[in-house]
Amino acid sequence: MVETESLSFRFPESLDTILKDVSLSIKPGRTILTGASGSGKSTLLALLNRLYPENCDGILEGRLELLGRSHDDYAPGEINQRVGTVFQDPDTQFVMERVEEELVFTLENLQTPVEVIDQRVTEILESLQLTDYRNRHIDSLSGGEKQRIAVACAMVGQPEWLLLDEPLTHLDPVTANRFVDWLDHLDNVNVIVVEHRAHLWGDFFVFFFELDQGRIVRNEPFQAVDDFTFNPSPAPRQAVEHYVVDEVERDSFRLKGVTLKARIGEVIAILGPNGSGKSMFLRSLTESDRRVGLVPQSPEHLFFMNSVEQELQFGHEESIDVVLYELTLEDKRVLHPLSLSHGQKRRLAVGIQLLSNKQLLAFDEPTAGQDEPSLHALEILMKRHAAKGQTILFVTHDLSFANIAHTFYLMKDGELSGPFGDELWGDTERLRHYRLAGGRQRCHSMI
Amino acid sequence: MSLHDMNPTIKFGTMTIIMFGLALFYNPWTPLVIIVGTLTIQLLATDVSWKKWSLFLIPFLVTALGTFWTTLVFGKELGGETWVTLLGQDISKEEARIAMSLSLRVLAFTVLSLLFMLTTDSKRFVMSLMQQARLSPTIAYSALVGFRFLPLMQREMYQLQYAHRLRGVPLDTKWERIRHVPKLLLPLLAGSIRRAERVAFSMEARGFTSGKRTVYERIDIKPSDYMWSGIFFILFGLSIWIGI
Repeated sequence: MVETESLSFRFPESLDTILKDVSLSIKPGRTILTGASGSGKSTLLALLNRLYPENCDGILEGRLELLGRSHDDYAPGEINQRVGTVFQDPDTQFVMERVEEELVFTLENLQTPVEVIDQRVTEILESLQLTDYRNRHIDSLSGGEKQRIAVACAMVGQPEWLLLDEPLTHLDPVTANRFVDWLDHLDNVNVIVVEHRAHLWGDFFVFFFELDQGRIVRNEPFQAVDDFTFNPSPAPRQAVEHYVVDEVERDSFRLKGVTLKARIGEVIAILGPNGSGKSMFLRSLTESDRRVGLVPQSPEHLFFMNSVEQELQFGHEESIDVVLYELTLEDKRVLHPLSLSHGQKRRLAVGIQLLSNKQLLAFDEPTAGQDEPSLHALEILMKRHAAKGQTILFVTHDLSFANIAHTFYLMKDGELSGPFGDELWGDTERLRHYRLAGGRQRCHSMI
Repeated sequence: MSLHDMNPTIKFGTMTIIMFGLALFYNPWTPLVIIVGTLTIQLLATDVSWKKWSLFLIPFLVTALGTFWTTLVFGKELGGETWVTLLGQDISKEEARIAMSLSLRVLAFTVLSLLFMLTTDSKRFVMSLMQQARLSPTIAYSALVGFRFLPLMQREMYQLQYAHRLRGVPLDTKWERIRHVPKLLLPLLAGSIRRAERVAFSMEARGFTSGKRTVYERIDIKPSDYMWSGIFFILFGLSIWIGI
C-alpha cells in the first residue's frame, strides 16, 4: 500500500528535515510506527493520508507511492475515500452534535448517494456494536466512547486502510485495553498505528517500524514488548506533615474529606481510573492548604507573564538565579513561557512553586501523552526535589510510572484508601476492583 | 403548523426586511402594532418559554426606557404647549410622541429578533443558509464547529482562572476577574488555534473539501413558509396603515 524511496520532508519555515532518507514498504496487515516525540512518526502518518505536504506547504523529496499511485496523482480528498484516519484528541475530531449526524457528515463528504446513507449508517453502527450510540450527543460520551465513534466515522466510508494517530493517549489503562480488544474484531481493513507506547497493544500487530530523528532504525516483525520500567525513590525522612483535604460536593459527586499524612521527601502516587475523583481531590488539596503547589497537566495553564524571568519573579522579591540554574533554564530567561518545550514548561512550573515556598508539589496526570525520554526526565525531576526535602505527590493512571513512588493511595468514587506500600502490586484483586489492571496488562516491573 | 418549522432562511429574510422597513416610519403606532402582532403570533403559534423570553428582554427593556427618558430630557426643545410636567420637566405632546416612537422602535426590533432566535435551531439555520442562500459549506461547517468550541473555551477559561488564583492572583471579585482577562487572552487564543487546526485536519481526513458533496437532510421551502411570510408582511402593512 505504501512504498517510499529515499523520502525526505521538511517544513518550509525551517531547515531541519523531519524525515530523512526514509525507504520503506508497508504491506497489508497491521503495522505499528513507533518512535519518541519529534521522531517524525506523526509527520509520516500525515503524508499517508495526504494532509501533508499540501496543508503546510511542506517540501518533499524522493518517491512516495500510495495505493499503487504516486502521492501527487490524487485530487484533494480523493485518497480519504480509501484511507480513514483517527486522531489522538477525542475532543477535536467532531463537527456535529450527535453521532448519527457526524456519520452522515462523513458520507456526504464522500458523495455517497442520499438513498443509501441511512442504510450505511445503520450497517456501520451494527458491525461495530455501536447501535445504541446512534442518537447520543457526542459531548456526553467518555473519551473511550468518543474514540470508538471516531473509528466508526473513519470506517463508514469503507476504506481499505485505517490510520490511527496515538489513539490511546487520553484513555486510562482499562479503557485503552478495552479499546484495543474492540479494535481487534475489526476485519477487512488494514491498520497503521502511530504509537510510542507499544506495550499497550499486546500482540495486536504484525509489522513494526521504529523511527529515530527522521530515520527508520528498525523494520522487523512485531513482538509484544514490556512497559517502560521505573525504579522507586529512596526512603523518605521520618518527620510527618499533615494536610487536610476538605470534603467537596459538586454535581452529585462527593469527594470525602481526608487528612493526608506525608513524610518529608516522600513520593506519593494517587491511582485511579478516569472519573474517580482524582482531579477533584487535587483541587481540594491545593485549595485547603497553602503549602501545596500544583503543576497542572498542561503546565502552561500557570503562565501569564511575558517572559520566563517575569514569570518566576511574580509576586515576590527573592532572587530567581538559583532556581533558574537548578532547573537549567538560565538561557531561557527572556523567552516567552508559551514558546518553551513541554519539558521546559514543566520545569518552569516547578520553579514557580519552589519560589513561592511550597512544601508539597502536586502533579496532575503528569504522564499523559509523554514518551519515554520525557517520562524519565520527569522521574529525575521528582526524585531530585524529593531528595532536597520537598514532598512529591502525583495522580496518575499510569501504573508503570507509579513505581517511582514509595507510597500509594487508591481513589474510587471520591473516596481515598491507603496508604499502601509495594505489597499493593501483589494484590491483583484490589487493583482490579479499582479498575487499574486490565486483561491485556503485561506483568510490570515489581521490585 | 408552528413557527418553529418555518424555513429558517425565509424567516430570517422576512424579519430582516421588516426591521429595515421599520426604520423608515417615524411614529409610535407602527412599532406598537408590530410588537402586539408579533407577541400574538408568539403566543398562538410557538411554544417559546416566556420565562426565557423575559430574561432575554430585560437588557433591551432597560435600553428602551433609557432611550425614552434621554429623548425626553436631552432631546431638542420643540417648544409648544406643555402637555405634562414630569419631575420638573415640561414636556409637550410632540416631544412625548418622538420619545415613544424611538423607544418602541427599539422594542419592536427586540421582539422580532427574540422571536427569530427562540424559534430557530442554529444547526437548521446554517443548513438552510447552505441550501437556500448558497452559503459555502466551508463557512457553514466552520460555524457549526465554532458553536461546539464555545463550551470547551469556557472550560479552559475556568481552568486558567483556577491555576492563576493558586499563584496568588486575586480573582475573587467580578472586577478582579475582568481586570485579569487580558492575561487570559493569549493562552486562550493559543489553545483555540491548536484545536481549530486539529479539527480542520480531522475534517479533511474525512473527505471534507471545498468540492462537491451530497446533501442528506433537505430543508425544503413549503407553501406554509410563504404563508407565514405573508402573515408577517400583512402585519407590517397594517402597522404602516395605522401609523399614517
